[in-house]
Amino acid sequence: MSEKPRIGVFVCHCGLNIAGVIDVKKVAEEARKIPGVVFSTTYVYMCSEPGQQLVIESIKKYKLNGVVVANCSPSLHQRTFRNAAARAGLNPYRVEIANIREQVSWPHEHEPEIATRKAIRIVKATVERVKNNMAYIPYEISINKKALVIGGGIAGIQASLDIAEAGYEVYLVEKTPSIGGKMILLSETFPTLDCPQCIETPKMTDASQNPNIHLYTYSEVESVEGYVGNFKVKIRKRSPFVDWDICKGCGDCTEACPVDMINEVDRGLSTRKAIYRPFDQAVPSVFTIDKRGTPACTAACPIHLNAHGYVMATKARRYDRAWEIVRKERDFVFAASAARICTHPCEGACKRQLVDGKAVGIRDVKRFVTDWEFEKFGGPNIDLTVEKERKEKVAIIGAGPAGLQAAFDLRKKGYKVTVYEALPKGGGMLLVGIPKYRLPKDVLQKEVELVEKIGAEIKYNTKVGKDIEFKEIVDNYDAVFVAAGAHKSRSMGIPGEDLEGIYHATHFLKKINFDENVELGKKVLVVGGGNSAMDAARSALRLGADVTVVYRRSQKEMPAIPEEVHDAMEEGVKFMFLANPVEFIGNGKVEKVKLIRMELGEPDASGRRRPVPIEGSEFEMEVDNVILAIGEKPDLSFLGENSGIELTPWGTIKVDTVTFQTSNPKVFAGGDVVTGPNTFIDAVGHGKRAAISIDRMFKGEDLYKGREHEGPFKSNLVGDINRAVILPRMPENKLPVEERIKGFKEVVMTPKEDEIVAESTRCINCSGCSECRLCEEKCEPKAINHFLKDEIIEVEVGAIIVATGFDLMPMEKLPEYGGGKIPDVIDALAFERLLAASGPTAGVPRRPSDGKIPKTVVFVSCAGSRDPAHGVPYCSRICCMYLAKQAMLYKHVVHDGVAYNFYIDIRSNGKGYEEFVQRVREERDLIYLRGKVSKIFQRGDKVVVWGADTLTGQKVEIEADLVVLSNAMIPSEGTKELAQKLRIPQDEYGWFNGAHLKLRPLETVTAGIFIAGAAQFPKDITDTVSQASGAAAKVLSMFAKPKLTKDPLVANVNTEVCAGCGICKEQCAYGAITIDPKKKVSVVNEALCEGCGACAAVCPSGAMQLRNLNKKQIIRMVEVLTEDY
Amino acid sequence: MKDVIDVSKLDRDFKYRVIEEPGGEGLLSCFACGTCAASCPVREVDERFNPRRLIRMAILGMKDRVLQDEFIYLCSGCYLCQERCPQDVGITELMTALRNIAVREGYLHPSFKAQLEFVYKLGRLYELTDFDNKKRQKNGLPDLNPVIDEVKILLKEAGLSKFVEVRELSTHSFLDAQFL
Repeated sequence: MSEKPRIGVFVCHCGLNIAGVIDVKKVAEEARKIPGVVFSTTYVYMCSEPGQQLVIESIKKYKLNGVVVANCSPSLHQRTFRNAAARAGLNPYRVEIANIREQVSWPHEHEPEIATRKAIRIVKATVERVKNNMAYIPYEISINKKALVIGGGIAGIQASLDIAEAGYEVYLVEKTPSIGGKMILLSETFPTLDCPQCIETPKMTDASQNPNIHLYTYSEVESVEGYVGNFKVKIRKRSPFVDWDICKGCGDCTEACPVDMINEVDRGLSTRKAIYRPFDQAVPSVFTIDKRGTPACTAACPIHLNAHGYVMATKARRYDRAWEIVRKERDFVFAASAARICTHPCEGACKRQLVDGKAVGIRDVKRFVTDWEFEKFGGPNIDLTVEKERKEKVAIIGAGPAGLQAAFDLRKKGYKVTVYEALPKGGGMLLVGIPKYRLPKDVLQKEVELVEKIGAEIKYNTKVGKDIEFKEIVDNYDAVFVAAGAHKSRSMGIPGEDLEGIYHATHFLKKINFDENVELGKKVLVVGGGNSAMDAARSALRLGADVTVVYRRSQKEMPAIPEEVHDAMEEGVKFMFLANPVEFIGNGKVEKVKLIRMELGEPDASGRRRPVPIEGSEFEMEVDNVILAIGEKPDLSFLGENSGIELTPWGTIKVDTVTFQTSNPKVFAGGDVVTGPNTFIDAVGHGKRAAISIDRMFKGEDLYKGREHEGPFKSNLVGDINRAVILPRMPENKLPVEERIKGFKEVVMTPKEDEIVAESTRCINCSGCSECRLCEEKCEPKAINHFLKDEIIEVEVGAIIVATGFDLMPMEKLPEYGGGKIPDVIDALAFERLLAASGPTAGVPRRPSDGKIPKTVVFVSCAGSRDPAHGVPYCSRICCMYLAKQAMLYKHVVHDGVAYNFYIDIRSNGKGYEEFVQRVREERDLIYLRGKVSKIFQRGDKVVVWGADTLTGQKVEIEADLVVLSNAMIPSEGTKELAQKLRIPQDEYGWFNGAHLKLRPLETVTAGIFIAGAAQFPKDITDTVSQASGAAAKVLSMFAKPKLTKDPLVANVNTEVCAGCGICKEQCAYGAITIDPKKKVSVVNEALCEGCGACAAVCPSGAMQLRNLNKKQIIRMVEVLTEDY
Repeated sequence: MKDVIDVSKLDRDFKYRVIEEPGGEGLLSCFACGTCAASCPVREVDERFNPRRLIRMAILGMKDRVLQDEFIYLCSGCYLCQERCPQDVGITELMTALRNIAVREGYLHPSFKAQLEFVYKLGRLYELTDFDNKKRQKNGLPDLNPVIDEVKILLKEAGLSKFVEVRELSTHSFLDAQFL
C-alpha cells in the first residue's frame, strides 16, 4: 500500500458468541488508537445485511483503503466482507479477518480479561498485515466445457446424465465391465421396494445411448494433469480381449469356456466363466475375458508350457486343443517324454497345494494328451513348417534334450543345423540314463526323429574331440551350441572303489538301455538318494537282484522325486537311511562293504541337514555288486586345449545367464554342461533360450531386450482356495507290482479318461483365463482377440466428478463373526443377491453351505461399524434400513421362517424410513433384539449367534441357519491411488473430503474437482442421487460462465533471488511448481496454486513469497503479537 | 445358563394374543423409549418394577415370565405412563389385558389367591366371628351368616374356583433378575 493507510476496524459481537466473553467496545477503542486506523466500531451481527451495509458505508464515508473485520474464522466470512468491500469500490484483497471467535472467545470462555487482551493483539497484528496488503485482480481462466465422471454407479450415471442433458460432453469412466455400480445388484430398494432392475436399468441405457456421454467401462484413470477448466486426463482402457465393436453379446463363448471363476457380482455365491458379462442387463452388453497374469504352474515351467491351458482344454474334453498347447504352441519336441519323466516344477508351484496339499496332476494330464496324440497320429505330431530358409549354419554338440530342442527351434527359423552325437542314437541322458520302464525307447526315438523330420542333420557316432575337433566345428559354422550333457561319473574317493563288481549308475543304466549284458549277483547295494539311484535300484531289481539302497541322510532329504521312492519301495527295494560306505572290501571283486552310521547335523548350503558320521558305528555288509549313484559331472575334455571357452571353478561352461553365450560370442552352451547334472526340462529351456539368442545374433538384434521372464519365475497369483472343487488327487494308473518286476514294461499307463477329466477340475484357475482359446472357435463374429492390448485415451476436460463409491469391510476383518470361515455367515450384499430375482438362487434365499432354504435367519447390524477397534468409529448409515428391508423380503418369501434382527440403535432418518421400520417390526416372526452380537460360531450345521437383549437385560443365544452381517462400508478399492492422482484430500478413513462439511460438501479443495455419492461418506441411494445432481449442477454453473476467475493470492517467485533448489517443488501438494530448466528458477503455475504457502515456508532464500502474506508482513505481525514479552 | 434367553422356548405368538385382548392393542407400537418407566410411581418405590421391560418381554414372547410378573398386579393404574407414551401403547390398559390373560392361563398372584380362598370359603374377605354378631346385636342389627355358600357357586361359575381347588401357586418372585 503506497498511500497513507486509512484502515477501518469492525468488531463483531456475534450475538454473545464473542461479546459474551470479550469486551468488544474496548477492542474497538483500542483499535482506534493504532496508527493508521481512522475508524472503528462494533455491531451485533457484522455478517448480516445491516452489518455489511455498515462496512460499505464506512468505507465510503471515511475513504478507507484497508479493512479489518474482527469476527469468526476467515473460512466462513472472508469472502462475505471482500465482496462487500468490492461493492464499496475497495479492492477486496485489502480486507482481512481477525479471528476472535474460534481463536479467542471460544477457547477463553472463562477468562474474559485475557480474551479481551488477546483479541486486541490479534486485531493490531491484522491491522499491520493490512497496511502492507496489495490490491490484486483475480485471474481469468478459460474453460474446456467437457466433464470427466469417475465411477459408473448410480451417482456417476446420474451426474453424467444431468451434464449431458444440459448439452455438454461427458467422459464416464468405470472400472468394471459394466456401469450400474452396487445399486444394480440389489434386490429391492427401501422404503418403496422398487426394484433396481426397473428403476436403474433405464438410466444405464440412457447413459449408453446419450450422444454426449462417452462411456469407458473396464477402464481406469491413469493420470490427471492440469487445473480447473483445463484438465488433461489419460484413461487406461483395459483390454477385455474381446473387440467390443464386434461382440454381439450372444454368450456363445461362455459355453466353450472351461474355466469356472468366482462370480464377484454374486459375492462369490455363484460361478461364472473366465469370459463373462457381469450380469445379463450389463451396459455395454458385451463380454470380457478375465486375465490376471501368468499362473504359478506356467511361470515355473522352464519353457513356459501353458499348463493351465491344456489342463482346462482337457477338462473340456478337447484333447485336440490340449495337444496343440502341449506340442505345438511351444514347439515342444519332447512332450511325450516329458509326460513321463519331467520333474514337473509346474506341480511344485501349483497353488492347489494350498487347498489339500496335493498339486493338480499336470504331468498326468500331459501324459493323457500325448497318449491321445500317439493314438490319433501314430506318433508325435508337431508343426514342421520351416519359416524361411536362411543361409547361416549352426552346429550343435550333443543330441540330448537341450541340443535337439535348440536344433528344432533353429531349423524352424530356417537355419541349417547339424547335430554331432557320440552315441548311435539321440536322446542324451533320456536315452542312456532313464530306464525303459519309465520312458519306453520308441516314444523317445519318435520324438528325436522330429528333429530330423524338420530337416536338421544328426551325425551319430561322431564324438567331438575324437572324430572331429571342436575348433574345426567353431571355424566351419556361424554359431555353435554346446549341449554335451554331464555323463562323467563322480567317484566317492574311498578305498576299494575300483574293485570289480562296482558299477557307476549311468554306466549300468546305459548298458541296460542298450540291451547289453550286465553281470549282476544276488545282493546289490545302491549308493545314493537321487533319481539315478532309484532308476538303478529298480532296474537291478528287475534283473532279479535283492537290492538295498543306502543313503547318508534320511528319507525326507532324498533328492529323488517322492513317487519314484514310493514306487521303488512298493516293488521291494530295501532302504537303509543314515548310513554311508567307507570302504569296499574284496579280493579283486567286491565282497563286502564297510559302512558307517550317520546322524543329521546343522543345515548346509542346500538347506538340508548335513550328515555327520557317528564315531565307532562302523558295520559290514556282504554284497555281490555295488552301484554308485552319487552324481555325474560334465566331461569337457572334447573342447581341447586353448578352446577359448571359459569354464567355472566347478568344471562347467561359463555362460551369460540370459543369452547362454560363452566367452566366445559365437559359441553358446546349455543344459548339464552349464549347470552340472540338472533336470531334463531345464535343459530343454536352455536349448530354447540359446536358440533365441542365436537367432537374434544372426538378425543383428539386441540379445538381452525383453527377456526378463524367459526363465522360470515365481507367480503369486492364487485362485479362490476356499471354493475349490473338493476332490482328492487321482491315483496314477500303474501296472500291478508283480507285473512290473518281471521286466521293463512301462509302469505308468495311460490315465483313464474320466479320471483325468475329473482331475483337471481340481485346478483353481489362479490366472483366470487359461488361454485355451476354445472361446475363439465358438465366436461367430470373430470378436475374440487374445492379443488385444490396453489402450490409453487422452481427453481434455474442464471439470471432474469423483463418484467411486464404497466397498464392504472384508469378512476377514471380523474374526468374532467367523472371519469369513463360516460359509453360512454372509454379508448383506450377498443376501441381496439371494433375494434378487436376477441372483444365483432366482430370489429364493438358499444358504451357501448346503443350498437349503434357511428357516432361521439372524441379521446383525453394526458389523464393524461404530467400532473404533475395527478402525471404523462411524455409522454406515444405511444398514438399519436395508436389514429391515431384507428381513421383510425374507419373510415374504419364506413364510414359515423366523428372522431376528440385532441392533444397537435404529437409525431411520429419511422420508418414510421410520414408518417403514415400524411396519417391519410388527411383522410376524420377525424379532428385533436390541444389542450388539458378541460372537458367531459354527455348531454342527447351525450357526450360533450370541448376543444380548439389553431391553430385558438378558443374553440371547440363537441357533440359526444363516447369518447376514451388515459389514461396515469402507471406501472402494483404489480410492487412495485415485486421490493421489487427483490431489484431493481424504479423511482418516479414506473417504473424500469436501471443501467444507456443511457449506461446500460437493466441492473438493482442488478447484474443478467435485465429489458425489458414497465416495464422500456412506449414504443411501436417495442422498447419492441428490448429491450427484448437485455435483452436476456445480459443474454446469461453472460451464455457464465464459471464463473462470481465480483467487490471485498465490505464491510468487522473486527470480532474482531464487536458486532453483527445488525444495518448494517437493512440498507443493498441487504440482503447481516446476523448475525452469534454462533459468534454473522455480516457476509457479498460478492456475494450479491454491495459495497454501507451504512453498514459502520451506524456501531457504525467501525468494518464494505468498501474496498478501509475505515475509515482511508475517514478521511485523509476530512483532506486534509478542511486543509484551 | 439362567440369564440366557433360549429363543426356541419363546412363544412367538404371544404378542398377537395380547393385541387381540381388549386393552392390549397397542403392544407392538412400543419402541422402548422408556417414558413409561420414567413416569411410573411404582418404580419410584422399587426399581425392579419396570413397564418398559415387561412390555419388551411380552413382545419377545416370554409368556410365562410376563404372566407371573408381580408388576401386572402392582400397577396402580395412575395412567401417567399412558398419558405420556409417544406411541400410544396404552400401558395401563395393557396391564389389565395381561392380568386377564394371566388368570385365563391359570396364573394368579399368591395374595389374590389367599383372598380368593377366603371369599370362596366364607363368602367374604374376612372371617365373621361370634364377637362380630354380638356387636351387631348390641347395635340392633341382625346376625350375619358366617358362611355364604352362594358365593361358592358364583366363583365356580366364573371359573375362579380352580385356583382354590387345584392350583397351588408358587410364591417366589420372578422379578429378581438384575436390570441393566
